[in-house]
Amino acid sequence: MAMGVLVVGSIGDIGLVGLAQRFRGQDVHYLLTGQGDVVQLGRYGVSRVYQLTTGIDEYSFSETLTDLVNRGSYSIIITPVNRFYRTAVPMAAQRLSAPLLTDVIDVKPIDNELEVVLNSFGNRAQVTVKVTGRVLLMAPPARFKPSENPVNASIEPLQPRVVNVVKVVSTEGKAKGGVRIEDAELIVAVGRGFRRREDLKLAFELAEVLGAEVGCSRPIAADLKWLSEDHWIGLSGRRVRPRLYIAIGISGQPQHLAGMMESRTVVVINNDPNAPFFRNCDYGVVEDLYSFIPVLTRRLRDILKR
Amino acid sequence: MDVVVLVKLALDTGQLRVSEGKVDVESTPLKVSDIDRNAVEEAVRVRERVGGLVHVVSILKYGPIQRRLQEAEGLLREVLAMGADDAYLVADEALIGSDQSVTAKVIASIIRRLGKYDLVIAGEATVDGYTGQVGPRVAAELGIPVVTYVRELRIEGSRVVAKRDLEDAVQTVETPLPALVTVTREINTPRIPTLLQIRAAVRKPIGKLTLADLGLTLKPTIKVESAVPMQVKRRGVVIREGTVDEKADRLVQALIQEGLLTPR
Amino acid sequence: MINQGLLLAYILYAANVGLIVLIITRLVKEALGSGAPISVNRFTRFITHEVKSIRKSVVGAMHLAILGAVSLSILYTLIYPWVYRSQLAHYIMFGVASPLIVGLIGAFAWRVQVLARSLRVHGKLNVSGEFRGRSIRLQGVLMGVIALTATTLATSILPGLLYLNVKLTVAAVDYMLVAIFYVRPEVNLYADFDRALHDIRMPFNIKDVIEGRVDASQVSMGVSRLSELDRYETLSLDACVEIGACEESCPATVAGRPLSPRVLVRKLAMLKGTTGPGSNPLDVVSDDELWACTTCGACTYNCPVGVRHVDIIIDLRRRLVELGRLDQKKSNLLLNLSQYGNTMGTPNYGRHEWLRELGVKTVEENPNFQYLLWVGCMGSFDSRAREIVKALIEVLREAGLLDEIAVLGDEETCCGDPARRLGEEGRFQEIALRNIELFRKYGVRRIITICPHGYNTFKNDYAKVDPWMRGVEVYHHVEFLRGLVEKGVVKVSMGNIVFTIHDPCYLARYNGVVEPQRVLISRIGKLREVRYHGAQTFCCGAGGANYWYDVPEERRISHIRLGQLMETGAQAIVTLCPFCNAMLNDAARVKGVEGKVKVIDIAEVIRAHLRS
Ligand SMILES: Cc1cc2nc3c(=O)[nH]c(=O)nc-3n(C[C@H](O)[C@H](O)[C@H](O)COP(=O)(O)OP(=O)(O)OC[C@H]3O[C@@H](n4cnc5c(N)ncnc54)[C@H](O)[C@@H]3O)c2cc1C
Ligand code: SF4
Repeated sequence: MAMGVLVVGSIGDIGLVGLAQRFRGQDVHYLLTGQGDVVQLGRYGVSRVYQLTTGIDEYSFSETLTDLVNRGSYSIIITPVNRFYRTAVPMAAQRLSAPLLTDVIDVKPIDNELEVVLNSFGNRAQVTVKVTGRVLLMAPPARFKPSENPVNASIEPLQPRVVNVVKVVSTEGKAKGGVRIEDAELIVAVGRGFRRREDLKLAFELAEVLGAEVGCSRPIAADLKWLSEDHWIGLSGRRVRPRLYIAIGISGQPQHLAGMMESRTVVVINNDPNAPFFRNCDYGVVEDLYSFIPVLTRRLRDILKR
Repeated sequence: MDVVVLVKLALDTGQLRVSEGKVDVESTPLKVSDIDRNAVEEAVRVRERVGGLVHVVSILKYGPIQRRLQEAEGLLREVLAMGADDAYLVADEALIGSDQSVTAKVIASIIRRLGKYDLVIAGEATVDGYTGQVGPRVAAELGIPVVTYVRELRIEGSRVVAKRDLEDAVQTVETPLPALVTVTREINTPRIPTLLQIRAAVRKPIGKLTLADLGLTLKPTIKVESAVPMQVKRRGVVIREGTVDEKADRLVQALIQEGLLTPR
Repeated sequence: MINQGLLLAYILYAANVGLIVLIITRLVKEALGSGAPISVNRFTRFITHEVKSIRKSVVGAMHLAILGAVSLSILYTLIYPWVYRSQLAHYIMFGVASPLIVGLIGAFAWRVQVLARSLRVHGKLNVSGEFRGRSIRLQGVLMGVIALTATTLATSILPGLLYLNVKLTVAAVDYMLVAIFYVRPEVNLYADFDRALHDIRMPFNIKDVIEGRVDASQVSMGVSRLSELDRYETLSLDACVEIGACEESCPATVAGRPLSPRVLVRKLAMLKGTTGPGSNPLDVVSDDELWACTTCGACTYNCPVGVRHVDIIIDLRRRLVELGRLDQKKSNLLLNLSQYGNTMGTPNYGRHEWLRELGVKTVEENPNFQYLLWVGCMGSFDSRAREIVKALIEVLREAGLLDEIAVLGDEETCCGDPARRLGEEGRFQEIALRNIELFRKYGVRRIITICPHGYNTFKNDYAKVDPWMRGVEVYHHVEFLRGLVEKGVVKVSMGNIVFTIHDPCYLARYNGVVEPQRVLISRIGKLREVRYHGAQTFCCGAGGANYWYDVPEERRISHIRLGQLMETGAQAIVTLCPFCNAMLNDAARVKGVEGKVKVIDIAEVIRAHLRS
């Protein structure tokens, strides 16, 4: 199978090169959007960089990408995940008559075929797919770590093909605090173990270090009104299924559990060793949240360098 | 104004059946993909405002076809009961487990056969695959503009004006019809048809088609080898002893081991 | 020459007799129009019901006082020509009337209190100025009737023509008002007094649709015009004379939710009066007003003239469901019912796996079972409610009865109560038919359930969908446990815990099951009754599908109820419903009184006091 690998993204998406490196012996090229240090790409074995410095819309991007893929005969195209790419890349894939696999975990080229492992079925199963021919892969860059393999990267400015069909009338910044907790990957949830509204800042700091959303039990949203209702998790609140759910000062009543049971990993922090939540957790810590959370936050800040 | 809504009869991933350590796709029930309900609702609201027809298009992706047909019809009847006028269901062995480029081609072929259409609405993504590809792909196939992640929709003459929900901004865009939009959950609260309304919807036509009816022959490009469900059993490790620092260390180590934290 | 005074008296007498005839004709006419059978038998039962209402509540007693007083006043008026000369007769008449006069004074005082509360409620609900005016006028007129009737009775002590003429004049005005305002309420009560609380309108039978006798598109579920209400419901609207008993007992009103049953009924009555029966009730009633109701039935139960608030509310909710006017939480409930077959939105298969570990068999494994144990959504999925089921199982094991029971396993779904109370009658009936089919398939003859909602639905609602269900005996676990204890199959020991009982609405008020729990508790510890108990219980806030959604309110109903229960100073609150248990436990937790009082189910109480 003749392969050339094209990675698409900004310089921050460099993690995807880690996925590209699993296609051993293939040239890795990079469609770099915006500014970025080309030398850094070369360090990880990217031999050619196409640089697109003008911001264009999804439609134009899909046309530009299609042209580039056809020109370079790439058979593996790897892109990051966000709403821009989720719009542009499928259009390109359709023009290329190629499959697009999302939420990719791993790839394994076997002879003429490619085996791709991905999260699917609403994050409830790992699916293995076999592909022959050209394929587009979408994955979060942070999932991979490229290894060093320095080469000299050549650079070529890319002229976009601009098509104006959708006109942007206006753009407003989003009001902060409007969470969509149902889609959150990481959640720090707070309960009545917090004694005062101001103390919630402990949880917000932890969430910030983790890049998590803050959720809460019903009393926090409905009775005390410390947080708005879109944070409320449970039977009568939102149903969430993050990869990591950290419950702090929540006792774990059935109505709360009903909303978070499907979380992948559940961490419970509570000073009452008999709290029912401990019977429904992966990791529990019996400790006073006021002394524990600041320590945990500091520790995480150290190792995550945030 | 004629609106086409794309509705996926998705695997009900909340009720995945498992046998011998593998997801048993064939015995897992289907459901109308959640966000596609929002799409149908929006289509019906557009029609309520400006008149016209609402056509539903659905491609059966999970077998076994014979048994699924009845299930699919039942679900489409729910969609029709929400106010759509008719439905087209494509069921063909060649489409089971096919990739989205194939799905998009089939959908585009039906839409072209409908002749007249002004707007195509799809959900932002489906509950089972969550790939969100089919909308943009169909637009590309039909050569019409696409507006994704729409949380507010207005028809102004022969243009559509939409508010898009992006990661860090809300964008208002405008594009001529015909166009395809994909909607988010926030755009509306879909009506839940009553049982009587669902029963009354037996009157509405569901056109069942195969690839041959559409004159299509399509080659599969991917093959699903296996689907392994993720473990949901709780470990139940409770850290009781030690100083605060020790406890924090143990927890952090555990999270790193789970692959939930990657030290930098 | 004829005495002018006497002449006047005869003229007034004739006028009074005319008015009395008017009252009677109107009574008969309205009664005929009500569709209720007119027979001596029914009339006797009606009078017995009226007399018994003294025991039900203070309002009932006052209502009876007014009825008695008006009747007595009429009787006195009629016999005046024969007795007016006798001093003694006057004393006797007064003597007989005096208890009723006291009753009337009480009723007047009650009305003053109602007026004060309704002014407050009007302010809170922000009703229109026109409504306020009319409401106060009606209440004024009825206070007038009470005062006038009392006057006619009180003046019976005064002999002499002058007083007689005064009295007859007052009586004429009084009877005129009675003819206008009191006939309809009385007739409504006559027509409705024996209609059970659970017997709400059934707009269609889904079997007719399934079997093709009726086209689904021709059936309407909810009420889009007043004229689509059943006759008994329309009579209800006309019957309301703002006695305010509903409002006083309504948990939604007390909690500051946007609902007063009195205001709701009067708004609809006024709508009918102004724009006619073709009007759309939703023009004057808001969605949340309807969702605020927990269907606890206190309003209808307490209304002295038989107004059917809950029936009307459900009919209007049905309309909202038809129109798709549901927020996310209510939509989710219906979606969960259709997708998962249960209210919790959890996969249904394996719902009884945990029972298998306790040695409970399914109907397939134990085909000779005597009792089907209906575990219910809460019992199957909620970890707290599972404890209740577990306690019951352990008591049954102790009694050696474990092999007599079986569960449905994966085939158990929802009982349909939440769908019905939310207003999705079609879904409810479909669920009911499916369950009945299952019961038939496995030859179910007796059902035990830990949930009063399932109990009520199986016992009363299912039989209306399919009469076959009349042959199935339905037991709440408290009835069953009582049997075991009284027969000595299960022995319990006396302790020194002080209990109070929270009676579930759907058990005590809807089905009159109040004794078994008291019999059991009296053998185990000390019982201290809460003010609102038995059939007069106060809702926990979960009924009518309220468990799954929220309504704007000032206070939680569960917190109010917990407060009442805690006033007894009991150490443990005994519940008989997994929903009540969840509501009160949650209230105790949020109020931080978990340490002071335990909220436990009767099955758990029995298990803790087993004597082997
Ligand atoms: C119909 C109904 C629907 C409901 N729906 C929901 C719902 O959707 N979502 C929901 O969450 N609840 C819901 N509830 C409420 C639920 O029953 C519980 O009351 C609620 O979840 C309790 O919230 P909590 O855990 O924050 O508070 P609590 O139960 O009071 O728990 C507080 C916990 O904090 C711990 N704690 C205290 N101090 C500290 C400290 N210094 N350090 C560490 N830990 C500490 C305590 O040990 C305790 O375990 C519902 C209830 C009902 C009846
Ligand atoms: S939940 Fe309990 S108190 Fe509330 S309405 Fe039902 S039975 Fe009554």
